[in-house]
Amino acid sequence: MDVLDPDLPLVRRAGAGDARACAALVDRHLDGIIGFASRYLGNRADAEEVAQEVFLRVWRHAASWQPGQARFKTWLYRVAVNLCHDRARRRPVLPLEDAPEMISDAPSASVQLQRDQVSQQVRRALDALPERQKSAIVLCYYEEMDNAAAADVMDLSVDALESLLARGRRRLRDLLAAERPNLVGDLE
Amino acid sequence: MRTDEEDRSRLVQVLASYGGDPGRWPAGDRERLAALLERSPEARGLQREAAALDRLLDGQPRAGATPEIRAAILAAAPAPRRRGIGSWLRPLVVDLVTPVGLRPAGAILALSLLCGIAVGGLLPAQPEQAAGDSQSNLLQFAFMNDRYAGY
Repeated sequence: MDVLDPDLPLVRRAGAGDARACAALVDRHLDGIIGFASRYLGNRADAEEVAQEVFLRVWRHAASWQPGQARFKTWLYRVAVNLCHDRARRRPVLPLEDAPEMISDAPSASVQLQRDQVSQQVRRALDALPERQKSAIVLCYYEEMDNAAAADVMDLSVDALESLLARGRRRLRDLLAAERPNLVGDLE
Repeated sequence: MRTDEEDRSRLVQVLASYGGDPGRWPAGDRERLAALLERSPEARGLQREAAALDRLLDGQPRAGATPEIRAAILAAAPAPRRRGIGSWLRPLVVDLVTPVGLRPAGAILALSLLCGIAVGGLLPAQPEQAAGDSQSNLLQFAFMNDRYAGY
């Protein structure tokens, strides 16, 4: 496994305090972790806190990293997924009608307003998904992780992942159609 | 060889799980299902339905890493390990024992060590005689200037 893990040499050097290896690991994975967390949690500040915590754990474990159980990237995303789950459980889910209104004087304000409202609607529908369905959709759909890698992160078979994805997308579609009738046209 | 019906069934599963963009489909299915889309208007209709949800999902903003967060994360990275005596000895030992490391300095050092052991082994060992010599010396000292020797 360690032969196939492209991150392993960097992790070992990072564990020994090699600043270049630490920077290389951050450059390889930080954007993906923040992308995943921001799509999962819906805001940058929370996503950055998750990313910092993920990399703190990397620094803590790099010197004693034992290859063979999982690839480094898989482990990294597992940590991110778990931290996102924990963080999402601690915050309340707002009802859809509490979505803030966007106010702007720009000429295209109405178009922008509609776009923002749709985005918030989708955001809230995503937040209403069960956490594993949401993780699967964010990993595969938004982060474009291939199905085998995403299944590894979630400790599932590929078939089980596909089932989660299908249930998640169906639920999103139902939520969006029910909460916002004017989106139904877009969905048909 | 799969039938059209099997391909259609797989297309329905793939669209339900991954959406309408073939770029997101599993690599193993892509070519076969793209061919099905080309020959089947019904398959293209199914793809359009899945793409409608994709369009809504695609509006979600994605945050990327900023230089500030990168710097904050790197500030917490492990410091370089202090180089103890082991870190100086290790390369020397490696040089001596690895085939690539058998460089002239290491070879000379090893040869010197072997010569020392060999020469030491060839010299006659006379511990009894040495012990006897030191005993007679002690006796000589004991009776030297002994003012009571005549009594």
